[in-house]
Amino acid sequence: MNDDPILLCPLLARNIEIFKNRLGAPSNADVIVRRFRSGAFESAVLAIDGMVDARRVDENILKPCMDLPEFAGEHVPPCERTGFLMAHAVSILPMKMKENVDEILADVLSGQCALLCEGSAVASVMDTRGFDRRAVGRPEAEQVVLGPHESFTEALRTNITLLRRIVQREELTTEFVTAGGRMKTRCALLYLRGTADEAMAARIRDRLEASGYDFALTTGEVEQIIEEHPMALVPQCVRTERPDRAASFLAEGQIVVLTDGSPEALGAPATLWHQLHTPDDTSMRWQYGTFLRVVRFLGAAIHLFLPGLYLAVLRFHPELLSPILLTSVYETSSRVPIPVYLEALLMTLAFDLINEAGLRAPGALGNALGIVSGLILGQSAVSADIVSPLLLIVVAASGLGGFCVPGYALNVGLKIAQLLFLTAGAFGGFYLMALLALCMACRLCTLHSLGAPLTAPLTPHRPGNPDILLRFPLKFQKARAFFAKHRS
Amino acid sequence: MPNTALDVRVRAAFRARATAAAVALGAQIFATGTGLGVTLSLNAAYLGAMPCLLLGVIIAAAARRHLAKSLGKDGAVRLGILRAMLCLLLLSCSALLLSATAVFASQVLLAQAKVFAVVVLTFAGAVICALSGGTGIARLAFAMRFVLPLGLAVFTLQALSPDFLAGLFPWLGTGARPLALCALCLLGASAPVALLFLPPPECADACALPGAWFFIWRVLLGGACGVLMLLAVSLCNTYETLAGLRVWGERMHIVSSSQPREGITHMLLALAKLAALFIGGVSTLCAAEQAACCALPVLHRGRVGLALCLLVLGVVLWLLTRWGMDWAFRAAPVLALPLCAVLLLSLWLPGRRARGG
Repeated sequence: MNDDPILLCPLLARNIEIFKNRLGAPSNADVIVRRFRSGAFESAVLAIDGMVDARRVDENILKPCMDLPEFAGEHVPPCERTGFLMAHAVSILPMKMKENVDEILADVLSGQCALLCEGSAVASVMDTRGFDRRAVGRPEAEQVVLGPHESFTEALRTNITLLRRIVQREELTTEFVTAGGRMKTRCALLYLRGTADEAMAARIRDRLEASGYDFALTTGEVEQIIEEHPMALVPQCVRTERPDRAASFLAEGQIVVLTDGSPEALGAPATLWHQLHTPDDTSMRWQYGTFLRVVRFLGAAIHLFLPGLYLAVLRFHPELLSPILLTSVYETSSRVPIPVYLEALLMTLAFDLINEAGLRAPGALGNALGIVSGLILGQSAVSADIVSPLLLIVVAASGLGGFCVPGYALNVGLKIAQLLFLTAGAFGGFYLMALLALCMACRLCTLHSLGAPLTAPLTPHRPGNPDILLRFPLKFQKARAFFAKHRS
Repeated sequence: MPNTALDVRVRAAFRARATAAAVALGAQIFATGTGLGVTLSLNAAYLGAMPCLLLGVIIAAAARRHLAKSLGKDGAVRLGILRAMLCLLLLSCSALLLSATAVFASQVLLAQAKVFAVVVLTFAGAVICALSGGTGIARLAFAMRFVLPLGLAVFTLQALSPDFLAGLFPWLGTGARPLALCALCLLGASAPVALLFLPPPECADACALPGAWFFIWRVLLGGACGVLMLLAVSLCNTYETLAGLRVWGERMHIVSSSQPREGITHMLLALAKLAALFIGGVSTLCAAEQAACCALPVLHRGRVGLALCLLVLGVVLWLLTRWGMDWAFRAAPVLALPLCAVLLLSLWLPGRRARGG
């Protein structure tokens, strides 16, 4: 792309020629260029077939312009003709006046239409998007027992509307940013002026605009552009497909990033504790929310440590088991031909395979897969003395613990860490596991999300909302998160 | 940057550093106390550790005074000498604590493994933690400020037998003179508190310092944990039992109860002690690197300072695998000398110039 911007010229035919060349018309059959007489001068509408609402274009642009009397606009200076039509004929809201060819093209490709006039070097770009879009449905991955059941869709404007319905405040600000080089993706940054730190919004904006990638189509790619530590196992932004949760992010002082084409919102900055919270915690009474959080945290700990602890006890610290249990374990293990470490690795891998296959298998097949794999394969493996029953229970319990973790991204990160702890337990017992845990915790304490420490406000200490692991009653939650501009 | 007042961030950083110093102090008191103090005065080693605690408080107060005089002032030669001495002192503490971690682990948890292998693992762990800088380990220490002492207390109480009070007698252990010698030898165990002479990496420039008590009571609590653990050793082992314990790891055992599942209690207690030793060792290592880079700014480039510190540490740990821990504990009292030198130097430094002058 050239550094010097290409601007429109006053000649309508020349402008149309530029756009046709850029879009590859007439071989590109999707391009619509409609020339017509609008009063005393010629005009043209440029759009992409299927992206615009043809009826709106006909009734609000073409018909009113073509119905103008022959002398209408004859005394209007040529450079103001586009403005004249917008003021006297076209009835579309919203619209922008642009003269940069690249910007106009980007808007047309997103479903807007451009109105060009003879003699005017300015085009009017109007939002006439009319492509098919998915209706607002239920969340797929964040289902709750109590609470709203709406989820985001792939349409950016719909998602912004869903948020604005909940957060009806004049401070709610929407900034549009494009990410990607050649294939641009529109993103929206939403935040509450005066509550969120605008410097963080500026940082996100700068990173998105400065990213050198050809395209960033999904929320996941946008997240990878924003985050500060790409090598960390822990995500540094929190994702949600629920508008109510995204609204709570805004109220806490976070910046919410919506991506056109992705039914998810990103909240940043985010701490590690945000990854373990669910909307259920807040919509239920504090006792239930606290209990569920503790269960979730225990589940995550079981998922992370249990297989490694099992191997460590078997190989290095058998004195911790009662003699009866120890006898039973050795009896079953003696029949298994492979080393216990390989056995544990195989079982863990099998569990992850079943998980992944269940996700990718279509519809009803996916449901049946879990039952077939779990019951039949597991039972068969035990009967054939390929694995020991106790290890099967350990891996299953660990897997269940993993499903308690709300965030899918964190779940995958914990799976990787689980393998590391498994190896540590097998080769170094409790000591190596403890060493690994200390190293990981030390590294975790240095991670940041847009400058906010990931483990704050636990460490380092930051004054703010005490809603970390335990969910306190609402009357004790008098302050916002520590990264908000105004915490009270 | 998040919109948090500067003083909140500064206080949080100092809080984390003070907690790291407290953990290191407690760990060093316990390690040196069981390694040297118990051999000298048996069950009265905890009494011998009290003067060390007092010295730790004095160092904390002196460190606060030094920071008030020297923050934002890097050019003075005397400051460079002070920081060089700090580097050597803290590196020695780090070597002692990390070697104690490795040897204790090999004696208690990994009896079937070679000491060299455990030392290598410990060294690798220290390298990984030190690469994050002193911030990570200090924040980790702050996060565990309740978990560690609580865990130690709970597991220790579970480990006590019904007649634990018998371990207190005789009050003075092997006598008053050995007790005085023990107290003298344990003075060097307060050396880790010297890391408070260095500001946290986030606060290298002049900033509002917390008061002296901010550091003192944290150091006091950390040291008190170490002293209480020594007391627990006395309560769990009678005078005669302690006299017969030749291996250092055995002297660190705090288990006398014959309750079921005492193996689990013993394991958890051992892990808590190891965590404290490791955190103390890495905190002092990171502080040593910081002191070295402050003394010679050229070492800051490419983490050369850290590489040098790790090289020295690696050599010391290797020597340990050949000679054992006993020589390290015998050399530990020598740490009191550079510690006193650092204290005197900090008093000798001129005050900070007035702003604009």
